[in-house]
Amino acid sequence: MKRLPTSVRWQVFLRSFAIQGSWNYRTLQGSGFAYALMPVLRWVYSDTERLQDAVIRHSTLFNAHPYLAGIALGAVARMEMDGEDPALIERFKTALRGSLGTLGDRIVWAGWRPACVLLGLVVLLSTSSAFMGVTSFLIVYNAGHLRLRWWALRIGFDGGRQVGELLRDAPLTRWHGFVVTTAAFLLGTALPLIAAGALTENRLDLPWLALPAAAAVAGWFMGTAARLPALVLLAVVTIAGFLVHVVS
Amino acid sequence: MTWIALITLGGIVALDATSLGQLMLSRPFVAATFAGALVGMPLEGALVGALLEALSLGILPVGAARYPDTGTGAVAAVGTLGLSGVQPTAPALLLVVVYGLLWQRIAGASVVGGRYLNERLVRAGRPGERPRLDRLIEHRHLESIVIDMARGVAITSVALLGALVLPFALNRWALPGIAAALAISLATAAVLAGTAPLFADSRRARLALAAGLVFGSLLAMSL
Repeated sequence: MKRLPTSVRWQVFLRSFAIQGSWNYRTLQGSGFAYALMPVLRWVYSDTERLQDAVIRHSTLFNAHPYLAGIALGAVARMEMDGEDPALIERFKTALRGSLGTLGDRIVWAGWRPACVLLGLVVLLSTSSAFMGVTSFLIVYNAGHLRLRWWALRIGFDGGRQVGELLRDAPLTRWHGFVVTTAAFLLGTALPLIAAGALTENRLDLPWLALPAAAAVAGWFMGTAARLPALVLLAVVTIAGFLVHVVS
Repeated sequence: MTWIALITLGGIVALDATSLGQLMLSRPFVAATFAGALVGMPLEGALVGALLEALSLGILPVGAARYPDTGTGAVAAVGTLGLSGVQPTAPALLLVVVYGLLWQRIAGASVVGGRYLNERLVRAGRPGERPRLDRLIEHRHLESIVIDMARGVAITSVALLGALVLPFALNRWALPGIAAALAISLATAAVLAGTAPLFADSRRARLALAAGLVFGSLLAMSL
């Protein structure tokens, strides 16, 4: 089995940060996938004609979570190196892209990211230090982010077309369970601080505090649909402030 | 100089959101704190960012969904506050938060426009130019990234003109400060609590949420 040079692996890793650079509604991440895979394709195909064919094949429709796209990049790189049938590689990419999108959305966008944001908010609101709040968020978040990207590319390279088995054995679900439990604790911590007015200079006293507490209960039952009435409330109070000036 | 630094930050933040990195410099909380540091009010910037963050935490960039460009809006909000020279009172925070939310929408619409432009760019690099398609794809890809940064710079430049209007608007806003503080608290508490179903989907997570509520209440009383 041929081994990919370390420099090529690093190039693919660095280019994977720009996989969404030309995101569009026709091929989604397609051209970004070709861009990130290019160092491998150039290494595998010394013949220009075959390289162009490979570029065309890999710039078609593709989409995945950007952090987990490395799994597909690594696996496809391995398959290209092993000389697999292009039709098989295309079917493999099609099969993989949906699950990588769903998995990444669940563990990163709906788990890791909000958990780290809530950590940053709690640190900010409890220490009143902007530096502490932001650095705690950026360091913790990106430690997980960079680790995940590197892991994704590595298991892709190692697994090739068998990467699904490595993915099944990965502890992502267990890790996600721990992350969302931590996020729930941090959300619970942030809510009373925000309800008490920690985000403005006007700290709310007990009678007024009942209103944000009621709003939080209403928000709990409404779920993400609570955003619209909240935005309407902000707009109404803003407009009311100007109207009161006009009337008075 | 501050204005140039802010629009550069707007460009970097726009890039980070999707095109390059996704290191979360584009989260409103981070972008607003950096913008606050540039205008000499990092804590106020962080608080405006925290407000915008709470209001956007439940927005998930899933698949081809269209969503507001929250980071650029945050730079616009805090940059406007800092450049205007007004005090960061509750009414001023309310006005810049609403202004930031508006620019999040406008910047979000420009992202959609950019994606249609990318479609044309990438399509242009097809069969007719076959001799070195690999180089062409790379070139067009990098072009798209540069255009995205230019989009962020342009949006931020225009949004910062709000600094000329903010003092004028604040003088014509006549509700007491407590009304602004209450509106902010109500809206952020409701939206933040609305994200609970994302996390509290098991008995263990609900217990953690309850423990957090107790801990947060104690913390709020002690601060």
